Amino acid sequence: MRDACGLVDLSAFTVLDVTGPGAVDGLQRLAVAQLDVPVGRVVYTSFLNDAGGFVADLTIMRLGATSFRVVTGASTGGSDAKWIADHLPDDAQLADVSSGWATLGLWGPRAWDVLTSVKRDGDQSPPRTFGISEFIEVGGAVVLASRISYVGEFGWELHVPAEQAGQLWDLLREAGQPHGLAPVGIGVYATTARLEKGYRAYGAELTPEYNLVEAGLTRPRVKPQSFIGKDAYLAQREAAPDAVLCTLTVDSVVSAEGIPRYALGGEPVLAPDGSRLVDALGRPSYVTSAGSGPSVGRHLLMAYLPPAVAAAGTSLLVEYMGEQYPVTVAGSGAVFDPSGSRMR
Amino acid sequence: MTEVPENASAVVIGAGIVGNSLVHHLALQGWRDVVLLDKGPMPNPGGSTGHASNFVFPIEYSKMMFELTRDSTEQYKALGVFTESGGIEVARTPERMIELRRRTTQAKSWGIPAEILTPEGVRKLVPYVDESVILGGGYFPTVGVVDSLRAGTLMREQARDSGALTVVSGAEVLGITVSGDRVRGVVTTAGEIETGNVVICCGVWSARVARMAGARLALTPTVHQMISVGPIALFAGTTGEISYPIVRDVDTGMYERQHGGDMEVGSYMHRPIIVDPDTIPSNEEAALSPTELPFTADDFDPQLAQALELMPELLGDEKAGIRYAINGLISMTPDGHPLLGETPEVKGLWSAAASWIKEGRADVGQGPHRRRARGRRGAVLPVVAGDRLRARPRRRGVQQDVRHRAPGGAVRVGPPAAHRAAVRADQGTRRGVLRDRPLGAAALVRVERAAAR
Repeated sequence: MRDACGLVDLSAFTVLDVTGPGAVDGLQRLAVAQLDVPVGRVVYTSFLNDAGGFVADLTIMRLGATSFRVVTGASTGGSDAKWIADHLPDDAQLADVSSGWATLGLWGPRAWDVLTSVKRDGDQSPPRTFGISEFIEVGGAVVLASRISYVGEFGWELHVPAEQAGQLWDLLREAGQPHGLAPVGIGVYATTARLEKGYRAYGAELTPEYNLVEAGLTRPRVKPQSFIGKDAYLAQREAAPDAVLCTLTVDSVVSAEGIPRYALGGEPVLAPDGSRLVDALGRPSYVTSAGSGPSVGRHLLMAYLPPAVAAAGTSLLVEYMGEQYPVTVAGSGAVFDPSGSRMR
Repeated sequence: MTEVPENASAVVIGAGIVGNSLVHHLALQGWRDVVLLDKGPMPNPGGSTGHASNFVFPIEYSKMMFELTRDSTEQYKALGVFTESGGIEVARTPERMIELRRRTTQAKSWGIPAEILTPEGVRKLVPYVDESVILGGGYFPTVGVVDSLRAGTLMREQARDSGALTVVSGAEVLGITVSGDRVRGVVTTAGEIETGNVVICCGVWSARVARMAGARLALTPTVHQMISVGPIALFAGTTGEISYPIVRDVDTGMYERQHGGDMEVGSYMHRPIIVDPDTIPSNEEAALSPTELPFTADDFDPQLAQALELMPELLGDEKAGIRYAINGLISMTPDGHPLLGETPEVKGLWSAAASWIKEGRADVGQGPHRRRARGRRGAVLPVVAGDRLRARPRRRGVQQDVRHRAPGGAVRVGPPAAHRAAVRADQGTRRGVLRDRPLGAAALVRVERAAAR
């Protein structure tokens, strides 16, 4: 994928359409990010609870003045839908259209070549600007192309009516052959590539127990409109965090018996003397996500660490299957393409 | 028969451990005019609580499940119904020993005491285990058992004595009235109650009751077989419910635990046996209770052989016989997680079902009530995998899961993959649209957690 182009089936996504005169205000009250954006803009945002802990992490596309499309994960979609529905004003509606739409991810340096080779003649090119979504025609299908990327590469989430998903898949595979396109699995999307980019996952890094500051997801400004959790969030921004979310590299994966062992998540992160790391609020440090990072040649972990040991370059230990392995804190950002230039 | 009050702030249906815990916490939070209903008699109305083995292992891969378990253990200790016995997961295979190393290390993340034992180490704690059959074990000293009937009774009576709660036993719910998308009341054999909050804590009957209101719960009653062998000579000198650590024979999907003078042997390795909730007998019809169904020995025989292998003298003693044997009914969901919270179909209709004793029957009770007490603020429980089933019951299970997003999987010694697969088949599965597309030579990378099956 990172060398040419990858194609991934993301059809398990939950897709929710929120419409009506009250849609923008309704979603505005739930999201941390600004939602009153121009039509076509794609917004990545968290939802918080009153205490400023995470309850959701998703993307929202503005399709029209009174029409938004929320895209979120398969396993959280149900509760995200209920959270949104419970908070919408009377003049807004939510429709679960997940079964009506399939999503294909197309990302990599050759993604543009692949997609433009199959668009209809004379049709608009797919959006080149990051963070924009547009309807384009590909083969016989009308596709909503959304220029975002959880894998950190140039490309799109392509949303297509479910009955046309197969056609689009076949078309892209064929068109992609001369460009080196390869189908890649959900492990690339959800684990290796996103870990290399340091992207957080709901349920793993983002839970009600942690906040935006600790997760390193703050933006320079907080929007003027009110939203659930705003007061708590503002207070969190003023205070020093009790934990810092970091990516760590595993320096050696070889066990004492000479067998390579790869942590899968949940393992305790320890100080160099083997003692447990626990932050000021009593939260233990453990691996929230783990996976291989082929682009950087290291097994990667994410964990919340007490600030004293969160500096890049700090040496720590992770214990897996009764043995301790040396790890190094890489920092709070991405270990691969930290500036994000490949994506844009 | 007692008649039900005309109004209630909340009607809780089901006086098993979950319902009892819920009314207890509602009362503590200041709720008044709560009504608890059960079609069966007190103190044991005949649900799974009445026969469940009730042991609690603190170790969980998922942080959220660990916290639920920890909080409920503290609650049970405060009630004086928790007996710490310790627990050992024995390994018969090298793969299991490797998994135990992973599990005991995982325990360190949450600060749970755990250590690896040699076969001899296991035998020192549990002298009736045949060392030659095992390669070692994982010892969790803080494992314990809960007297769930007593726990439930204490919690229910505290709520009743505080004046917050009316208990009506022998009252069966015949219907739940809904107006628009909101609950309005319940209709029972003992009268009608107007209320804005109904909580379904009905265990194996939960889906049936939810249907009365037009709501769907993805819960299936399934069988878990257990027998009791006694009198056990070794246990004759002991006092109390349990003096020896619980043994979990993970490779064979079984457990053996002392229960007074008997050895209770449970199995999850029989064929999946799904029971249609409409065929569950009433209290009057059932020989023992509605959730203690007649034992099918054929299904248990291979497991009994394995138990005998592990504990030959104790279970093979001619003077000990099988004194109790049931096909016990338990509630299963497609992913093994509980169903907690407000139903998406009907406002004011809540479920607290399919939870195990360790999952905070106390805190499960707390979850829904905290959400109501504080509106939508401060959700106690983060998103669980099972939440998608509660919130999207018509969408059924999703085959293409982005599994990493849900904290942990339902990894436990309990109904194995075959049972969950049967429940998923019963509940229905959604298939991905590109399922049939061949992927050619490119490898499909899938990271799967090694699971303790």
